[in-house]
Amino acid sequence: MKGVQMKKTGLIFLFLFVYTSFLFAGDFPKIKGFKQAGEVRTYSADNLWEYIDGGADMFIDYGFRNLRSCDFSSGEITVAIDVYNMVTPLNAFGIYTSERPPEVEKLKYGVEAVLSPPYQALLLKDVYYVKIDVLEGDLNEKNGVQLLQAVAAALPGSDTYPVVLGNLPATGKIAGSERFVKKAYLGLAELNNCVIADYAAGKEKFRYFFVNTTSGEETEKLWSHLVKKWQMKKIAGRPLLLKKVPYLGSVALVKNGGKIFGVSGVEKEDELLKKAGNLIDTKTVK
Amino acid sequence: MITESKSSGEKKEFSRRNFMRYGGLLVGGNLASNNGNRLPFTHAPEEDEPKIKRFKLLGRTGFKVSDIGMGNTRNKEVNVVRYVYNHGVNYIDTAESYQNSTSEKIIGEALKYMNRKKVFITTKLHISERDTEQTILNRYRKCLARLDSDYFDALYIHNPGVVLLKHEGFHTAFKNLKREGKVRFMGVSSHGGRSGRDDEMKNVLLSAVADGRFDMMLMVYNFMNHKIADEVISACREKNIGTTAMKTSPGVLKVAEFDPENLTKQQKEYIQRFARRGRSKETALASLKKRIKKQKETYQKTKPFIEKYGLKTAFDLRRTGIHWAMQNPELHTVCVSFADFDLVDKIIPLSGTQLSHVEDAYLRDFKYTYDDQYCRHGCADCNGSCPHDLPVSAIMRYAYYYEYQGGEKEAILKYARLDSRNASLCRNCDAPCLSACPYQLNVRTQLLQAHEMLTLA
Repeated sequence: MKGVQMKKTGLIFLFLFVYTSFLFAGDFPKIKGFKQAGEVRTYSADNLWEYIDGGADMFIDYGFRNLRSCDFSSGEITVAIDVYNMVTPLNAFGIYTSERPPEVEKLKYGVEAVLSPPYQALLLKDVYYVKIDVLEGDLNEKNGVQLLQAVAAALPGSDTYPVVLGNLPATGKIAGSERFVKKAYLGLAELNNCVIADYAAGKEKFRYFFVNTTSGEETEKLWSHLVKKWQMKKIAGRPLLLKKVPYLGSVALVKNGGKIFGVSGVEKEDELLKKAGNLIDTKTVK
Repeated sequence: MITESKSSGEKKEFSRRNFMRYGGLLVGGNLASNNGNRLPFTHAPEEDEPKIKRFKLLGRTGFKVSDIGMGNTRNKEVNVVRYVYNHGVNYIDTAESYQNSTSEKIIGEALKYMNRKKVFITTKLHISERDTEQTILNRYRKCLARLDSDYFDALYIHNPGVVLLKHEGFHTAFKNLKREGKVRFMGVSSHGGRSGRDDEMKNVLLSAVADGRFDMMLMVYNFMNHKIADEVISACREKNIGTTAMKTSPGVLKVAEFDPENLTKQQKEYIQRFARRGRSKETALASLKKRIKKQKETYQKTKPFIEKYGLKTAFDLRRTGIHWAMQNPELHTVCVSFADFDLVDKIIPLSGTQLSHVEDAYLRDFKYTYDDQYCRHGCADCNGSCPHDLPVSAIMRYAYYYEYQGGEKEAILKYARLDSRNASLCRNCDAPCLSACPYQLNVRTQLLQAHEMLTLA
């Protein structure tokens, strides 16, 4: 029985391997309504600089695995579609949100997409961050949406935001302001893998964030490290860490639900502590 | 936002591939990481905080540049740029392509807290044959808008081939911009070795020196890989051209020990990847054992350096590498990719200081040991030496993807596409390639190892 199960599992893995190999084995997902107009170009972390030079640094910071790029055409428009495999949906979300233009309508294709006519469209789906650049013709609302739909449909994986975003407190959160910073949030070398959102309370704006540690053990290890470097205070009998950041003011951290949460952008310290205190009882999802 | 109308004659001439591929998204990326977090605090380094101590004349530009510069490739924080500037760094390098153009905006935000005349800011544009004077002007104006300044101190052509150095549209655009006071100097950067001789750093930069119009160069320079840059720097000196360096660290060698009872996360993943390919656990363990043996050998080689020179982290190697590059009096500034305050605090004290005997001895020993194992970034000198016409540097790269970049499947697929033109041919070859590597790498042995790895033999 066990042997049959193992065989089944093996077959599933084999199928997935063949399936994903077919999708990306030097080939490119078929984009409905568009015709492939050239060779598929592939890059890894070792040679991404050949394509985007120093811009590669940030992709590598975000865990970039590989890029497949290919030109497609339909009617008068030709585009280059770059599909970056970022290994995890959260990494893909991080690089997407760091390159996503501000104040542009977010569209529901894949997890999310934005259209910047006439030259560019960006799309996020599962572990993939997709950049679509126009080579010939104009990208407009109509063909842009068609293209985003087709690309989203061609890529495998989930259409939902990373679950961990649900750890951010809901009250006062500015919709769509969530992002993921892989390294040195606020310029602090010790704050990595931070999920952040902007908040508003009346006229006041500030930020909540949490460090996306993957285990309680990792959280404790990081907390112990921070205790040595940051100032310790107590709030509601619970430890709180404070640090002054150049030009910014203080940042406060507390532990809750196996994660480290923080608040920044609050000028008065008593208010900062109060907001940090609110984080202690925030319900975490994962 | 892009606001050009359909009737704009300029737009049709626009080279979209380069403009967009390299991130010239006019709307920029997410700067929100700074919004709401820029309180009107002021900060200048305290008296006892380290500051830049050495400045050099940046060639014919006449600007006295700090011996440490900033390359803003990955930093997202306006405050880090301000911090760097307040510690005396007065050279900031960016590019249209960095962070989908957000890098220029970040510097522009920080610039509001700086004295514009006291800082030298450069940007770079990729250009292609499709570009025209007008497309370059359009793109550059968008760069200026993002910087929110009247001018950049220098505009570089970003990593071009030799032919593009003479791009008429670029030179005409530059002349116009200079006349309008929107740019002061012209530069060229090179990482080298993209697709052939036309792109090699030596050819590109020496051609740029000979061209005579370029005021500045940005090049790869580190203690393992400096012969080419030395030649370029020497040529630049003759023509009083400014020289700046990047990639000052050769990379990091793995030194992790192996504990079979306590496999690391990566080692567990390694075994899982075999399982996903339908390979048995025994095969995976055997392969892992072999791989770890190799790692152990590397570790044993590295251990004496770590103990002798008190190096504890990979960062020590990086810092020493940067310090080494700063010693060249003809190299005017070394661009460091600062992304956090700690790094600034650790690197700035190197300014104006001499490399210690311990550091020097460490780097010499390191280089001596790894010289014949380090396949240089961008080098393709061995190509053409193989009687079977194997793409030697490409195979080495595939092995690197497999071993160090987690790209096993991709590496195997790429290698498989070589079909019968693969490194199995090396088994019975008398190896003329052995003399082809300028760094004496044992090419045949390394190719055979790569073959074994990439075919899961």
